Amino acid sequence: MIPQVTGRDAFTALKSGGAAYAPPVAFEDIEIPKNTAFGAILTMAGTAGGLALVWHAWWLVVLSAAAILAFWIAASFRKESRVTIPAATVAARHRDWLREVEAAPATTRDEETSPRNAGRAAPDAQQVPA
Amino acid sequence: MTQTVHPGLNLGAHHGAAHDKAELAVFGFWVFLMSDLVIFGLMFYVTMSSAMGMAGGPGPADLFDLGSAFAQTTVLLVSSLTFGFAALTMRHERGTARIAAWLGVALLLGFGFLALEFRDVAAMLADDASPSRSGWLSAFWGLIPLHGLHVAGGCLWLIVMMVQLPVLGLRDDVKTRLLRLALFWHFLDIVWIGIFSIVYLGGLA
Repeated sequence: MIPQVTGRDAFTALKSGGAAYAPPVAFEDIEIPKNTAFGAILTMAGTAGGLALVWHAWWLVVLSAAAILAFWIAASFRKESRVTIPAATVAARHRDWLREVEAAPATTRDEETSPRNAGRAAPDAQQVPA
Repeated sequence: MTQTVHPGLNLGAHHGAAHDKAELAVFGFWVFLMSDLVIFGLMFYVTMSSAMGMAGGPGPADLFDLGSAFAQTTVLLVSSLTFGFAALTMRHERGTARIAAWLGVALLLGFGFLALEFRDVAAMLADDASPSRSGWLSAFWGLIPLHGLHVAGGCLWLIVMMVQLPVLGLRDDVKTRLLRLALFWHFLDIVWIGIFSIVYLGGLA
């Protein structure tokens, strides 16, 4: 769901109008990439390979290049690289969050560094024109 | 969805989702190929512009075995042709075993090309024609092994795909990977045609 923005500081305008946390009309499945260690492995092997090239440690150059190739090929064998979060789960999580927002005390700017601040801003006295 | 979604051989609308996914996947690969072409173009330029920089060392007439270069050209062209048959077999859904068989022929010919090239450059090294001998030889050693490294990478990719065909089956992403590998393989063939025409034939002319 893409937010519709009609003016400057749209979220502030929605908050001061009391319409910031309205429940969405409908929920859809969300498709995202699955968790993978490949990025972290690539970073470590790449760093080791770069260090090895600088210091002419050829055994480490070969090792890190082989590791990158091996993990790259292994990653291409994954059965599923994407995961779908069903709309029902998205809806349940979102409604839980809206309930938490409802329960959270509104915090003014003056209190925002106090432990009272649970993340929900009280509408500012000075309004930003919508 | 229209029938042709990217340049080159398309899977065709009868492949459903795989055909749609191919549009983005193959477009991205074309961008890579064209950036690779820039690198090869630069290496060609350096080789041609250093044709006078022999520094008294051995030149094309002393080093090149035109028969071997012609054999390499033939082997790589036939390999490209057999990969074309593999791609057509996939497009017309004639079974994974036949695709794998054509890929196997393409791979063996790729190995044949690498063996011929390795023999030639090993002979050059034995002939006092190392990269540091002259400017032209530096450029030559930059261009030819760069192409050979690409072919070796393509062979590794071919091996991976020949394992993925039976293990993963003709999944959508396996199909688009084969399409991209086909482009890579034909691209390397075109680059070699440039090497044969400009470096070998041009050098001996």
